[in-house]
Amino acid sequence: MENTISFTQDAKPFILDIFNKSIDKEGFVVEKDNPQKRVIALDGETVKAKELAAIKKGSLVFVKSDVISLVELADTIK
Amino acid sequence: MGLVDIAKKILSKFPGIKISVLENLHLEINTTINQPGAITNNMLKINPTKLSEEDREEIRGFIRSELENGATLLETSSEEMIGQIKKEESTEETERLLNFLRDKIPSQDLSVWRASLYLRSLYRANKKENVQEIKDQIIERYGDRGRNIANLCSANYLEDFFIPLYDSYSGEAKKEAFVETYDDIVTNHPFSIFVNAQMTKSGLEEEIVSRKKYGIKLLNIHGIGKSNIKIINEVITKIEDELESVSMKKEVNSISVKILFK
Repeated sequence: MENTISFTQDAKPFILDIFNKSIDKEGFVVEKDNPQKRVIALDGETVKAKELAAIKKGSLVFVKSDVISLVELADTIK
Repeated sequence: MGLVDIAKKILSKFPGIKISVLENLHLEINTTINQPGAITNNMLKINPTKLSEEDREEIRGFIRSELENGATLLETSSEEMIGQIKKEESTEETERLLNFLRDKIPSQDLSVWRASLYLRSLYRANKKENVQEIKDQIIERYGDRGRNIANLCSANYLEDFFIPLYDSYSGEAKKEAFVETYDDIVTNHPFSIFVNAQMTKSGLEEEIVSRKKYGIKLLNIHGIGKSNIKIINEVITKIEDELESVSMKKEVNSISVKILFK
């Protein structure tokens, strides 16, 4: 696919760290500097690292890995 | 610094890694490979845990800048699923069905139909291991409406009922008439019966009686084509005494009947 960078499931901590995010004890993606603050995904809900599918530019858009999110994401990827 | 420069810089420190392809490189951050990096088939795999902090920072900077320039960071299994969705949606059959749906149904339903068509393609290809998980994801996001659309899709109601139903309408209000019936069906699917060419008069009557037995009070019956319209009319007339009310929406070549049991 054009204009994408891939990452494996195991590489999520490294990827999240690039954007000052980390994973809390319950598995949610949180702000590294403020772990109480959970990141909100495109569907308006908090996102667990294991269900994180993609990160896009916006302010910073997190997309979940459920089929509806991926169908919608597919339109933005060539 | 571009990806090729990064590849050269990082991989040159590891003489064991052969740099053979440097055009159209695709980057994968992969912490499971046993070496700092590898290139195979235009794919540059980098394991940041095997790099120095200086090289890791180089990679971080590159990823930040690519994202800023519009790239998407994509987890590999999701990338694979998106590839499968795109492949399915580019088939002639699915493209035709999506083109039919696009300007006719409520826009929020389109993603559900797309997911359901993908789900059906997995089922048809006998790739059933993820089918239930994907169906659950549709239901989690869209509730009963999502469940109904997934079920209608897997039973081919799009081709066998919705498209012929749309074609059966005529006049300026064609789209509005279709959307009204469509919405009724996707909202009330368990309370709907679709009469097809294989269904006999007694078969329809049995189906109605069985739904009543399950405690359903309100039932929608839909049919396309003269013989199906005739069967529906005859059965409704036969069971009239058991009904509290009957309302019918008739078109030239289709009928939708709403019945309320006493």
